[in-house]
Amino acid sequence: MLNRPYVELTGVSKSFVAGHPVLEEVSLTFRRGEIHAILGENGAGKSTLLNILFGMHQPDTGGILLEGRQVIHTSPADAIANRIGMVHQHFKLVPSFTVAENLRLAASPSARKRLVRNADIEKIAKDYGLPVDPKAIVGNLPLSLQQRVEILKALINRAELILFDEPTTILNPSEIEAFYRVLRQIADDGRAVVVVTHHLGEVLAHAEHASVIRRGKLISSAPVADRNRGDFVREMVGKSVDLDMPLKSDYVANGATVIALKGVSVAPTQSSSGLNNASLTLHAGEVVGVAGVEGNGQRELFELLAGLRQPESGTVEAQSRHPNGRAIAGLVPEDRHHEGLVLDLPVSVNLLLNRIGQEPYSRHGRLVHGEIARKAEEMRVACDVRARSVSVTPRTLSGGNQQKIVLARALNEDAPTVIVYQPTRGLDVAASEEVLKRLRQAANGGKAVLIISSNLDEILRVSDRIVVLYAGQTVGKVTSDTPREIIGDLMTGGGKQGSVNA
Amino acid sequence: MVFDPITISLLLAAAIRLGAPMLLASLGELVSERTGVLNIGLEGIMLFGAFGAVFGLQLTGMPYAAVAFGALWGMLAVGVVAIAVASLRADQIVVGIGFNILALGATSLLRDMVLSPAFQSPSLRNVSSYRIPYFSELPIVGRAVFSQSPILYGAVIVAILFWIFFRHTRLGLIFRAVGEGASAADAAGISVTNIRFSAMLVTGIMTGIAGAYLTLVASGGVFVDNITGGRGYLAVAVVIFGRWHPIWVMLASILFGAADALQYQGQAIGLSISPPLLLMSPFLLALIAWVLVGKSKTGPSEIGIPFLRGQK
Repeated sequence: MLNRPYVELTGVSKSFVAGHPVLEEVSLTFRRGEIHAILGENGAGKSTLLNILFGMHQPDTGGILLEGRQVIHTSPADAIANRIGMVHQHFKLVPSFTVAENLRLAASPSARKRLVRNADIEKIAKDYGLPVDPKAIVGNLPLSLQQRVEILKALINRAELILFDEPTTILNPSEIEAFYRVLRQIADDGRAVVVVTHHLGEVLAHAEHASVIRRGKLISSAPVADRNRGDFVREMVGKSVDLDMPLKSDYVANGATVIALKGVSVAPTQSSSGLNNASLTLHAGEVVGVAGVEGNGQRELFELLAGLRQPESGTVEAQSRHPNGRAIAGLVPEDRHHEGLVLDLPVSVNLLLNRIGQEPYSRHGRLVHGEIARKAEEMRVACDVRARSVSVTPRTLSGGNQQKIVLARALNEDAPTVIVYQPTRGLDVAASEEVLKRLRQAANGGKAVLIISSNLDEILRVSDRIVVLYAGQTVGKVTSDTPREIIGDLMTGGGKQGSVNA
Repeated sequence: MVFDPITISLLLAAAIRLGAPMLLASLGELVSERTGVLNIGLEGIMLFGAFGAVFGLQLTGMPYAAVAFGALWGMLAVGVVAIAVASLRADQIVVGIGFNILALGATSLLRDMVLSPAFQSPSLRNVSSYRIPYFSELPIVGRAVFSQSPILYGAVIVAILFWIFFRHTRLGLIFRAVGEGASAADAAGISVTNIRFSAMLVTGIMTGIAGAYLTLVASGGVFVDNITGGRGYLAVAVVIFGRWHPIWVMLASILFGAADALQYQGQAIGLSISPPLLLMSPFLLALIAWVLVGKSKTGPSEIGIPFLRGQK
C-alpha cells in the first residue's frame, strides 16, 4: 500500500504570461507514508505547483491523478473534497476570529458536526497531538501556534495529502524540530506529505523523497538516502556553490571605532526582552555578527543603531551624525516590504530614497528626474537588480531582487556603518549568497558591517567577530572558529559569563 | 427650552420617524461592510428606490406594491454597483461616488419623463403608521415608538434577525470571514465574489426600501429631485457609529434621526439656534463619528479592498 502512488502530477505546464512558463512538463508522484520535499530557488515554480494541486490555479496542460483516476480542481473546494489540504506560507486564517471559528469556517459539512462545542475542538486537537485553545484569537497567537491551526484545518477535513509551502521560515530551531515530529506522525498515519522548502538541512534530516525544480523544470526526483548536500545545491542553483567556504577577510582589528554602545538598556516588552546593559563596538573594515534567538533584544538593538529610538540608560557613540543628532548608517531593516521599500513607487525612487531630497537629485524643491534615473540605473546595474528598468515597482520583483535594492541603498549611504537585520530572510541560496558577498565587499572597502540575524550559518560564514545576544545582554565574544555547540549554548542562556564588552 | 411630556414625545417620534430611512439603509450597508465592501453608492441607490416607489405607486395605486417597487429598484441599482465592485473588482469609492452622481441625474430625468405631475396619491395611511394595540396607549412612548410605520417595525425585526444571523449562523460566519480575511475564506473553498455580490443585493433591497420610506411615509407619495439629501451618506456614518453591530446601528440611527428632527422641532422646544445651523447637525454628527471611531478601528479589516487571489 505504501508504495503505490497516491497523487500524481502528469506533465503539468503553466504560464501566467504567454511565452514565460512558470512550470514546464512537471511530473511527480506522491506516496502515502512519505515526506516528499520539493526543493528549488525562489521563483522556481514550487508554490505554483502546490497551488495547482490545491485548485488555486489550473494547469495549462497536464493533470492530476488521484489513485490513478484523473481529477480536476477548479477551486480549493474541489481539492478539499478530494482530501487535499494545504498549509500556506502566508496563513489563510482570519486573524480577528477565534481558533474555533477559523476551524469551523474551514470545515467540510461532515467535519462540522464534530466541531459544535469548543470542548470537541479541544479534544480533537489534543488527539492529533496539536493542542490549542479554541477560544484564543488567532491574530494574538504566536506564528508557530497559528501554523498548528492551519495543520488542524487540513486534518479536520480528513486530508490524505497535505501540502506545506515554506513551513519553517517562521519557526525557530526548536520549533522546527517539533514541526517535523508532527509531520512524521502525519506521514506515519498513512498520509502523504509534501513540503516545499529551500532549507536543505531539513530535507536531508527528515524527508524520504526529494524533487528539485529549477526555472519551472523538474531536475531530479529521487529518494533522499541516495543523495548528498552537494548534489542538491548543484541542481537547485544550476552551478556549483560552495556553501561551506567562509567569506572571510584577513582583517586585523585596527580600524577606527565608528559606533560604540556602552551599557545601553531598553525596557522589555511582551514579545522581547529589551536590552539590559548591552555593549558593542564596531570598527571600520570588519563584519560583526549578532547571533541569538529572536526576541532577545535584536529589534531594540537595530532601532538604537538606526537612531529610531533612544536608550533608557547608557550611551550610543557614533562617528557620524545627522544635524538632528541621529546616527547615520546604511540600513537594511528586517521587513523589506514594510520598512525597506515603498513597494508601489518605482525602483529608482526606492534606490535613492535616502538622498532624493538632496542635490543633485532635487534642486530648489524640484526633483531632477533625469539625474535620479541615471544614478538609479547605474546602481541597478552595479548591484545586479533584475528588473526591466528602474521605472517598474518593487512589488513586481522577486524577494531577492527587492533585497538587492534595499542593500544597494544602504551601501550607497554616506556613512561608515551598515546595519543589516535578517538580511537573507526568505531569500534562496543564490540570492542569499549575493547579499553576503556584497556585505563582505563593503567591509573590505572600509565600512563597518553589523549583521543581526537568527540564522547562525550566515553569521558564521561572514563574520570576523560574533556577539551573542541573550535576554538583552551581550553574553559572549566568540569567533567563527568557536564550535557551534558553544554558540548555541550561549544563545539559549547556557553561558554564564554575564555581560561582556564585545 | 421647554420639556414637557408632549414635546418629548413629539421629538422622540420625529427622531424615530426620520431615523427610519437611515436605519433601513444602514442595516443594508452593514451587511455589505461585514463582507468587506464599502458601498458609498448608498445615496444613489436610495434615490433610485425613492423614485421606484413613486413610480410603482403611480402604476399600481397600492402602497405596499410601491414599497416592493422601491426594493426592486434598489436591487437593480445595486446590481450595477456590484458588477463593477464585486465581479470586476473596481475601486469601491470611485464607483460609489460616480454612481451617486449618475443617480441624481438619472432620477431627475426619469421623474420628468415618466412621473405625472397631476398624479393624486392614494391614501398612504397604511404604510405611514400603525398603532400597536395596547402599547400605543402608553404615555410618551405610545405615540413616539408604537405608532410608527409598519416598515419601521419590519426594520427593527430585521435588525434583530441580522444580529442572530451574524452571531449564530454558519452563513453569518462566512459573511464575516469574507470581510475579515478574504483569502482565508477563499482557501476554505468559499467564493468571495458570490458572497459579496449577495451581500450587496441585500444592501440594495434594504436601501431601496429606505428610499420608498422617504417618499411614501415622509413626503406623502411625492418624489422631488435629490429627495435623499445626503441621507445615504449619513447611513454610511451610522454604520460606523454603530460599530458594525445591528443593535447599535439601530440606536445610532435614532440619534441621527434626532439630529435631523432638530431642524423641524428645534423651534418647538425653544432652541434659539438658527435653522440652517440645525440643518447641519446630522452631518456634524457624522463627522464626529468618522473621527471618533476612526481612531479606534474596529471595522472589518478587508473593508474597501478588492479581492484578488494570490496577490502579494
